[in-house]
Amino acid sequence: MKLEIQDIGEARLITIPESRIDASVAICFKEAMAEATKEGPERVILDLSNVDFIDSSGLGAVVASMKLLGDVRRLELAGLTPLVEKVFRLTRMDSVFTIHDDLTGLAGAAEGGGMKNAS
Amino acid sequence: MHPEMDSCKLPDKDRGKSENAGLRLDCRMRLKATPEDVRRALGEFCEAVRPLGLSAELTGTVELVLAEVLNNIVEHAYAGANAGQIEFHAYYMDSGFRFEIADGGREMPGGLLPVGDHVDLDTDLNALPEGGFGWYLIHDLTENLQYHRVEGQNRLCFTIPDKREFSICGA
Repeated sequence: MKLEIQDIGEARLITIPESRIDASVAICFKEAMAEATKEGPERVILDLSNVDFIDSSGLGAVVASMKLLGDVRRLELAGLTPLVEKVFRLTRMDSVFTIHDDLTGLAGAAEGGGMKNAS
Repeated sequence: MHPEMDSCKLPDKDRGKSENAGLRLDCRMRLKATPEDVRRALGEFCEAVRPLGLSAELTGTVELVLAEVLNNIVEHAYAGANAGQIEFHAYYMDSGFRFEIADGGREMPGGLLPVGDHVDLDTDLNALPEGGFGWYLIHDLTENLQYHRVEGQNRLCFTIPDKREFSICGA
């Protein structure tokens, strides 16, 4: 699975280009996340706005990705579509992650503006 | 191998007061127990359901529950052996969906339906669970969930109601 990576200010924004994080791609997703967060800013924001379906295997892979960041770095989530939001809410995983409604003003806040591509 | 859709009918509305009155979809599928076939079968089933014009919330719930049930069969009943078959029968009536799903894999532990407790999130980051959410979601989103071991087969039946007032809110 190919993830899109963008460093903006003090944050790394990782966008999932695919529409499903399910049992058939959970392991690939987890490996791609490990690669995408191997280095880079402490703050990591995962953009889920293209993902319209996640199952419990996909949810487990997102949790595993956060654990890979260690104690200091944190994984934040943004752009949850309705079913993805429902899975996080029902499993109460919405209490574990910082969840942003959308990407507006998130990573670019330190630069005094909205989301901008720094590259 | 692609999942086979044995039959998928949208019965005539004018069947009137027959015993099948209200039946709007009757769908049988057979698939190989692999994650890829589960994904394809879900795609085909969602296509078959589309003409019913249901809410995105209901179809999303149905797809999620089916994904959990079918992936459990792949990962546990057949334990990744990738050889088994899954048979799947779905009906939709005005009150909602009914599903009957059968596989020839190993019996559920203790011959019983797994309980679907909330996983414990009151813990350190490193101890956060990466699994155990599936049966919780299945229990939470279905009704009349029943498991039987019959003639060497696992048979799981459940309904997913299509009525907002019957849906489970924070139960």
